[in-house]
Amino acid sequence: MEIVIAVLNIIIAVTWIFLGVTQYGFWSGGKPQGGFVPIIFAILVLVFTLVIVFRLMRKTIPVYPIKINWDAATPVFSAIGGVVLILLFGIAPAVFLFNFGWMRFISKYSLKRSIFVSLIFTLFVYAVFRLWLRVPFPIGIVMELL
Amino acid sequence: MNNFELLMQGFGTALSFVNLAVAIGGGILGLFVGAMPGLGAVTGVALLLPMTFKMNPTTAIIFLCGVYFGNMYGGAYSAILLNIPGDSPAVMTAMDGFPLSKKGKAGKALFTANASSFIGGVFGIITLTIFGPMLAKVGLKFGPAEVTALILLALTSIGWLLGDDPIKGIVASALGILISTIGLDMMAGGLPRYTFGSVSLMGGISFIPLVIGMFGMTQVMELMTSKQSDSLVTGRRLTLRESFLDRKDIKRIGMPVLKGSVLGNFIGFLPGAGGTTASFLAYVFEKKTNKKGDQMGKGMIEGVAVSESANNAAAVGAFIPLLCLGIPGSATAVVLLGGLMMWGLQPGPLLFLEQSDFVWGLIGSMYIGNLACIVVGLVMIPFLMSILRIPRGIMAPIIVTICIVGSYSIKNNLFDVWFMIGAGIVAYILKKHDYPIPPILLAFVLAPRFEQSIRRAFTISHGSPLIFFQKPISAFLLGLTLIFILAPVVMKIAAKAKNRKGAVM
Repeated sequence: MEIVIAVLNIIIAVTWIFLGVTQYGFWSGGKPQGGFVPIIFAILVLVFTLVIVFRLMRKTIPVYPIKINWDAATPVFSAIGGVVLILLFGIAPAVFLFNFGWMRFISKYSLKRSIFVSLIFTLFVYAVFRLWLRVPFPIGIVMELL
Repeated sequence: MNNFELLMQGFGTALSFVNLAVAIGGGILGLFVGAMPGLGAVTGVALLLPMTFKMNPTTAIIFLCGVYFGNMYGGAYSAILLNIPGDSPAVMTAMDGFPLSKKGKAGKALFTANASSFIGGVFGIITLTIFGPMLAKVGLKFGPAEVTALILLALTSIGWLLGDDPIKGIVASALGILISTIGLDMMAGGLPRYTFGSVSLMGGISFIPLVIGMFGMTQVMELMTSKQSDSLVTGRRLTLRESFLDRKDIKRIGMPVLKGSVLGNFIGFLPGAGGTTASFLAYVFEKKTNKKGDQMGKGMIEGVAVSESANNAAAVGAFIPLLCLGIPGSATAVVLLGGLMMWGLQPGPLLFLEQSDFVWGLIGSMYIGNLACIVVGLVMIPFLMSILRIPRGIMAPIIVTICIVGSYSIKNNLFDVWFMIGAGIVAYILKKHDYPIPPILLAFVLAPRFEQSIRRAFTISHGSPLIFFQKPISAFLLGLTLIFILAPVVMKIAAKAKNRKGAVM
């Protein structure tokens, strides 16, 4: 994985340098252009990442296949599911469904506890973000159809 | 009238029933907003701005200052309890605050944060009262070259001092700068830069989704993989009395608070520096000067004390250039500047002369607001501690929900939510491979000012780099930067030489 991170860093650095030089410019008319700072720091990323790669090459690292840590991936997939719920039902119902689903099916809490905590928290989110901070809550595709 | 008489007059204005109520109310609101992960001072003040439309300017600015101070206190709560800084200045508080929390010393960490915030804030207000105009004159000497050197000092030391691997620290800092270059290049007349044709990237990367993703989502991912007990912190219910510091603790935090207050206040009044730079530099300074500096980052109250005192002193310091020169010292001060102009006030040197009721009323209210914040903050410690007693099965979806809704609330679009999720994944992978995360965020925050200053400095000098060495302040700051870069290398070489000598003998 370490080498994958290094390769991605090198790709980012090269892209920033390339676009900086070709599109935004480094130096012109005695003053720095839009690419000045990005190019300098992209060079830093490139040089130091190569140092990391060099260090890695000197070590003998056992090669393991890249595994997905499903415990760590749970919040990510849940958050993606949460965004889908927002698109479908709007923020307030999505918050309730998301929390209820997590507590009931991931945390394995009782139905009563899951409903109670999710409801209280949904009311809290609605009171703080919608009523107090006046964040406009979208109502979602399904709610719009209804 | 002298400053003292004017301040007494200001207290008269601040202590009116309405102004007192809004100062305390703003402080409480600010504490809640600040404690809410990812919302932060700028968002809180900006979102509450419409609430002040019907208030008179003095009452309105007192309310917003209350929110601002409350935020600075509140940011420490989520940083310490959840490792999610409420705002960028609280990033450094999380460094030691969260490890303390994990050791079961969350109460002490919160008390230290509150007490240090109060002292830092009061120090800043006293400085503003006595030396305000004079300090503003010193700050005026900071042109682009000096600001560049100051930020460069902060940026270089980030990578070297955080994490176990300085090279990965430097890469992380540089990546933070590269991310910050996405968006419109305002110095080139608003040309899109590194947007890859995406309209959503035109406005640049928002700090809030980035910080929420890198700290909030990562935190939940770690929470799900940890083999610890169900709640974040288990054990007895914490009482206010248990949170109090003993004599030994007070002795330990005395000097860090003083260092943080002085440094934070000085940095805060420099136009463009702000609380993040202040807390970071104060933390680094403490790490370098404290005998147990190597233990910082593992749960030392000195780390919490120095960063909290510095960011609160800087929050007050930011008012000096704002009120005296009309130059905002921080992002929140920019929103306050907009508010002042909305109410028909023109910040600048004339404000002290023409609107002395307003200025001294505001300064008077700062003392009261700060006092209100520490009282409310301390009373809330046991209440906020109960957050940690919530089981992981409830805590995890709640944090993810706040991450999603908090990211959405910035621009009311889902792009920021997607970005937040992506930032969380990237940060989690980087963290697992020893790349420190705070340097990415701090570099991201400081980079726009750095770029603006360095380009302006070169434009002024017609491309000559000598501008950075001809000015004594910038030369001094660059010298310090060089020391920061070279010191670890020299120390490493010296240690190797010593080892070799030992081996030969």
